[in-house]
Amino acid sequence: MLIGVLLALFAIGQMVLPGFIGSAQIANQLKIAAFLGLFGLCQTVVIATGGQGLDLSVGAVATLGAFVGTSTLALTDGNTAAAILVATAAGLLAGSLNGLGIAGLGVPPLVATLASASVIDGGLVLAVSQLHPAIAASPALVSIAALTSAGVPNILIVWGALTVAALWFLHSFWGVRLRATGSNPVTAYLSGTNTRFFRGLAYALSGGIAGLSGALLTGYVSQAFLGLGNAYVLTSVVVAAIGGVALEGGRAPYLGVVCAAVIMTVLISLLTALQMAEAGRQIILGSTLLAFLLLDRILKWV
Amino acid sequence: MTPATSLKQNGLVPVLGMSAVIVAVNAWLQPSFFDASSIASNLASLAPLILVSVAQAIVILNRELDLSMGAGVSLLNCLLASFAPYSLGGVPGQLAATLGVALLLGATNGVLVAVLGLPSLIATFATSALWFGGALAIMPQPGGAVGEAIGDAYYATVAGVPVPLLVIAGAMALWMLVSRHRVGRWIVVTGSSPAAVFQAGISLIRVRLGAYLLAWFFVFLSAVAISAQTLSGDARLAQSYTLGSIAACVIGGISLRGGKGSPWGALLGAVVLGVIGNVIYFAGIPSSWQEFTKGLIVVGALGFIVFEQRTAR
Amino acid sequence: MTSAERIAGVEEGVASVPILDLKGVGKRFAGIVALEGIDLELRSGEVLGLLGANGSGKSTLSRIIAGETRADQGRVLIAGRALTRASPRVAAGLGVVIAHQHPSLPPHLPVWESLFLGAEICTTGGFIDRRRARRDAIDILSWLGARVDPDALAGSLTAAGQQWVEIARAVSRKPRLLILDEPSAAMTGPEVAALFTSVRRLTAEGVGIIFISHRLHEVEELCGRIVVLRNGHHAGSWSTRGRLDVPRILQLMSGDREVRERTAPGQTLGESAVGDPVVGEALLEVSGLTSGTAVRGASLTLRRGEVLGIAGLQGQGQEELLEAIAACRPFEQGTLRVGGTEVRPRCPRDMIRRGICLVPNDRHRQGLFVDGDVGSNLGYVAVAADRRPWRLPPRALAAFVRTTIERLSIKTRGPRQAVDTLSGGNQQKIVVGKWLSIPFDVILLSDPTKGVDIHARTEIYELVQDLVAADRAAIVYASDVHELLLHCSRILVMYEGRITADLAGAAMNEDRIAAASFGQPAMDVVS
Repeated sequence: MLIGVLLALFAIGQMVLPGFIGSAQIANQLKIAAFLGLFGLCQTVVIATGGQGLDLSVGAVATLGAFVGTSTLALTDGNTAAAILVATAAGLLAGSLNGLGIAGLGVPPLVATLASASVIDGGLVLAVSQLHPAIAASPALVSIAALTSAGVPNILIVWGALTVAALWFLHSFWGVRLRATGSNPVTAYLSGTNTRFFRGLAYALSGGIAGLSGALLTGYVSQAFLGLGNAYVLTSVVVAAIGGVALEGGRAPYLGVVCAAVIMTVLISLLTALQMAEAGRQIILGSTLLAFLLLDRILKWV
Repeated sequence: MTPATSLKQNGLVPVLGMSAVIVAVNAWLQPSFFDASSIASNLASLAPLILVSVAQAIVILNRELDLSMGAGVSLLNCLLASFAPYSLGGVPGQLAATLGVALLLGATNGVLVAVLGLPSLIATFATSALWFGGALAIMPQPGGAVGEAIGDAYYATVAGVPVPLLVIAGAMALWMLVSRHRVGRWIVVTGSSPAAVFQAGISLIRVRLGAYLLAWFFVFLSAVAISAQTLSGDARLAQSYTLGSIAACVIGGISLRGGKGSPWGALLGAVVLGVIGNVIYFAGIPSSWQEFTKGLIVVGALGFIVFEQRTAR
Repeated sequence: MTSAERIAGVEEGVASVPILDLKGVGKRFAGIVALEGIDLELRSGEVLGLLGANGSGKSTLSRIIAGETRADQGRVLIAGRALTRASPRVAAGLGVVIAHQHPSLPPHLPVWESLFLGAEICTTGGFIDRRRARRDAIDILSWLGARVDPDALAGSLTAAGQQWVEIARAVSRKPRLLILDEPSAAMTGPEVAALFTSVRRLTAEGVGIIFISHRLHEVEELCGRIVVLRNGHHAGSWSTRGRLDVPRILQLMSGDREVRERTAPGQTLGESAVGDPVVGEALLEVSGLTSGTAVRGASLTLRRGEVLGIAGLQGQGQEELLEAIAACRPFEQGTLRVGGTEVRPRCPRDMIRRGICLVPNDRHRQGLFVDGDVGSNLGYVAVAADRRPWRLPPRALAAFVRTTIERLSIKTRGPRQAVDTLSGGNQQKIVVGKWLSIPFDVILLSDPTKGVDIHARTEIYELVQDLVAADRAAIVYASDVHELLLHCSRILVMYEGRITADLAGAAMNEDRIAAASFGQPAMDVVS
């Protein structure tokens, strides 16, 4: 169904804006979709573990990853790989703290991730003003995130690899246990699963992916800046919901989320191309989400 | 029931202590804190967050959430600022129209959650995009003008009592009234034990719908209060209120699992959150440290509450 | 609430129209028959005893009459008017009120307020009249003879206290027909006496009462007529005239002639097992186990090759005992030895690794992933037990699922079928069968045949016997004593969180179990 919607969107785009479907156009949109899809993966993992799971700190953690990546190793081509790793590690650390609060202390995810986001954001404001860190992305990072090779955007290859890894993980024994924790934590616990660990793990992973995405985003926009990841906080939740991740937990259909990420990107770019104002875009965004929720509900009733 | 046990049952003790400490620190840093003018201006700036936190508290007590309140306040603010000065018979007519819209927004959320059974977290998240879009449609750029009469009335005093205090007092009196009404009791009881409410033959749908409508009356009050301060419209004005109100409720000892706590806690929680800003300003903390310090204090407050609730169990 | 009012309300019903008139009432849950073809009449001033084993449909029937769920078939007439919707409010309007066995009182409300939830005593405009409501609550509680603090929070009351509030709530609605579902289960002797006095006063005022209880002597004392249900069907009804024909009731309740014959005194199964001394070393030794208020110092020993039954009235700590052994609830005091070594149970994972697994009581909430399919449910224990997280489920797992479906003859279209479309019996087989994927020594089964049809029951016990024959051991708690007598080699009886009897051989019979169930070495319950 999601693929049908996607094709319909492309058709509409081509009708109202001839030239909407072009290889360069599509490559460009997929680039944008890749980032949305990565943040969608954060929410997929977290929501799948249930307990009203939600990670509202992905934006702040991404920004953190971006600054850590650009600043800790005065970024040159040779250091790029190390910088990406350090950014991911920083994200993992922040995510683990979320996981500790949520799974260990029982803080509601909404509150915990929000609180950590405010601390990280505040800390970054402080660090940037005090330390004046380097913010430029290395040419190598730019080429990974923004350039294409043989017509295929490099970032798409990264996204593809991570998608395969995510699908593998979600179907491995750990992934099955993680989803089982969301599906029915009591049954999972009684069957010998350390449910707290998996709930915490989900937030750690979410943080790691957000940190990595932040570093890659720096390459895409060529420098780190405050508020870099903020735009993705809410859209990532929307993408996960449209992709079929049940808010009650237990279901993690990441391929659906991938489709949803592309749909959202195409939809937004179509609206932008039509010169629709921010107001219209917001309204269409909200109605799309509502429509999907209602459809899901109706399908359950029938 | 003695007042002390009542405070304890509603989880008000920690937040009372916390707000006392923070107010004391503020008063110590800012000797003029208890001056009439200072109190009045503090109240004026605190009132909108307090009111929206009380609104959120009502929804949370019902074991739901409303992530669209911030966008809702902004939308109502833009609406108020967009009226031509003497349209709709002047200020009273404009306020009535705004109230009507507020209740409509609340009813929309209520129908989605109570009747259609969508999870409130994601459904109100979707409507928040709708409200924000609506606000932008009315006012793409900050601007417009709110009737001067509203601003003048807000900063006036009645028999020496500043109007914002009266608004807050009126709102809390309204809650006291509602909580003594059977519908108010049902709203709270539904949050802790929906099964008992169903077995008692009460319609859960109507109670949930009622909770959203009541909450959005308070959202309306908050929008009026903030509009009276800015006297203009801005679609991004109240973005932080959604999460701020939830934080105020959690700090105020209201359980996100519903049924436990009191809007008084939300009020105090909002005071804590609001006064933190003051304290940081008067403590002379450099501007670059302010965000971080505020974040840390909020996390500390949340951690304290969570810890307190765990040991109390 | 004067008695004159109540009589006035009833008088119209007296005019030869029964208060309750059921015809052909039936109800199915997910395709399983819960009730079928129930006819029932009740007149004002009558006390009807409703009897039946667990899962025989008593609760479903009373929930239908009280308007909490709707009958699929047949009609329900209350004082001549049809009850067509599932609405407790409509039923209460017609005069039917139920006092539940497990009341769901709002924990944060004071007693006087939760008593009137949904029927608040209000001043004009709907504001709660706190003074009058509190006074009326005190009046009703003292009319009933209940010693309950009207200002206490409902959540802080004892089980008996909550039961009193629930009964007071029901009585305050001035019913014409009052359903009391196991009202005395948590009450002490004097409390039961007070309750009975109140019931007699209500019937004198013309209220009809349906009384559900497992305590036969209470039914004998109170009820003029009884109805026995078995597996959702009407098994018999007659007027008692103050004497209960207990053997006949038990026979109708179980309906299983074979059980009656095989457990008849003198030729019990237990006796036939006397010749086979239980062999094997102690696998599990529990002593002085305390967990919360439910288990208070229970001790037992389980040997290899044994099927150990745990009997007792409902709610004496049987489920909690098994859960504490499996480390699913805190093991607060006492010691546990597994195969001779003392262990401190921390979490279920820990105990599973030591070879102890639990088939929990509530299969929907604790045993299944209801949104999953047959394969993922059956395979989950193997997945959770594997120490190599990076592995994708191998072929062997799919093979295990296939062979287990065959071995347990689970009726399913295949591993991909959603579990919530299976019948209760097949779901339960999955909850038991998932443990077969790992090695274990001891399997604990908490009421494994609840809501399971007779055929699947037999199959589940056959599986347990097979497992035990293969050098393991099992502990079974079942609410049905006959099942235990048929399938266990030894039976322990629990009462108020302790083991009060250890019965084997000739001593393993219904009379001894019944006596111990009331905490007494010998009590003449049956005759």
